[in-house]
Amino acid sequence: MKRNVRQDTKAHATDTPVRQVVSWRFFFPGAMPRQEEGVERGSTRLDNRAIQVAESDRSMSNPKPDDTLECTLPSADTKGVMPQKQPERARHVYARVLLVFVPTAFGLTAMAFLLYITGALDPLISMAETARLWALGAGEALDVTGMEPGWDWLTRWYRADMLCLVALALLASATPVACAFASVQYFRRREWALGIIASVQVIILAIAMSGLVVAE
Amino acid sequence: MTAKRFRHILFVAILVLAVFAVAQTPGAEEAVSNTALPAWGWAALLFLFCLGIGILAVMAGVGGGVLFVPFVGTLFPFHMDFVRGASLFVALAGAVTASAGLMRKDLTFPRLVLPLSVTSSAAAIAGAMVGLALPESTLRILLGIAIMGICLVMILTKRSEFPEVRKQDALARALGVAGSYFEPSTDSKISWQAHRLPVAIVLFIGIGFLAGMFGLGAGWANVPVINLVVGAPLKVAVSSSLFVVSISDTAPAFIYLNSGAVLPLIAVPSVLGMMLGSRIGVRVMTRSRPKVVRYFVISLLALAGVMSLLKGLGAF
Repeated sequence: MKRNVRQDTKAHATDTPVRQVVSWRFFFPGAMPRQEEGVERGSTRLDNRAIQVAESDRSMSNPKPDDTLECTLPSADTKGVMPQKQPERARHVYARVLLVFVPTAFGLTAMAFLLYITGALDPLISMAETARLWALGAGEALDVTGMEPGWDWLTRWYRADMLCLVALALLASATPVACAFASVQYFRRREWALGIIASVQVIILAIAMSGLVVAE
Repeated sequence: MTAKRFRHILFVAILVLAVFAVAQTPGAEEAVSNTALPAWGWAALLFLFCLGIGILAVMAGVGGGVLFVPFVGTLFPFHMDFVRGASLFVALAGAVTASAGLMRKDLTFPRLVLPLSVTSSAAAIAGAMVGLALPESTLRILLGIAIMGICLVMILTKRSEFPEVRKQDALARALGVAGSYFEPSTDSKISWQAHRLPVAIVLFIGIGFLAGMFGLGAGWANVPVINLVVGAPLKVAVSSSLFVVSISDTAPAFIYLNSGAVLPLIAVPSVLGMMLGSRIGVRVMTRSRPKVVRYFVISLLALAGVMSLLKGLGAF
């Protein structure tokens, strides 16, 4: 028991200078000394915690390429006392978009296919007709069904088979949407090169999605 | 190999061969138009077949798309346009689902993936356009050759768990392509950095083109390039490969969709069967020898490649 009390006291003693370093740096990032200096000044006894906080402090001013420890900022609820380790924001946003899109798309796909095979919703092309079409090429199949290349399938979403295509398209849309959100995050963090690369990626995927590029 | 492991592999092999036997019954293609086997029957058969492929793919550590196209293209009476369209959605569904989980485990690094996926996806659009413009027989011949080449790549390339990278190239340094992740097996944090990024970008142009043209997932090429050329650890390479597939296959998937090359009756059972199969495969994998299964799958893949080549030449 005594040992625990002593440990707490020691932690409290080293907390105060560290807290000063972090809070000063938060408000006046340009005017603050380098974090190594801060550690030396702030804590005469360099314990592990002081080093840890100082390292977090360094990543605040000079973002590291390391994606895991990249965005290290003081959290609002602790009022800048202890910086919290956060994953890269762009990656976090990207994953969240996928986690919203993918289950929704899979659910919709399964539901639409159920409506299709049970005949609960009328298809545009019956299953028997589909069996004749699948031996033809894509272009010939479009000619037979009278559909246009491009987004014609979306305008007939109320048909069971086209609803299946809408669901599959939703699944494929997850990535471009996630990339768009990620590019915004990169620009916000002033990581121009990655922001531009992510934006170019979105443009390429948008061109593919647009229906302007189709095989006749 | 224990009797239990042998039974698992045998079951999957029998499932695949049973579908093969049904599909190759004389007059099977005519039966479709004569509705001897109804369309939903083919869809059910496709679902079962993809279930088997999904199990094998996970156990062998290969993507579903690379198995799907040669097998389904050869064994089922579908035009290659629809097979490739469905395959892209199969690969995409698996990759997108896995990417979301891997990102949360800090194993995927957008800094590494984005420069590669940009060129790969642009090339995949070109590949899709070329693939849809080629006659089916030519495409089958090229696919057969490509599949045999893939088998060679799978056999010959050695993987490195933690490649040594002494110095980053200028582009990798400018983009900050480096990272770290926690490795539970060694209970330590693994730091890594990339090199030869421009070389990898050029290689991904070719990989993307092949992926778009043949509707393949391209994990077979992504992993060795990211692991051996870029110098990322194997775990990072595998997760980054899935991430690249999820982006670069999106572009040709929409090209195929907008060109009328996606039939729900083929695409949806394939996606659902493969997803279910890969889940089962993950469970079975812990009780099997990956190396044995891998060589078994490579042998099957080589057989499918030969069959595709012969079918393209009109000899099968």
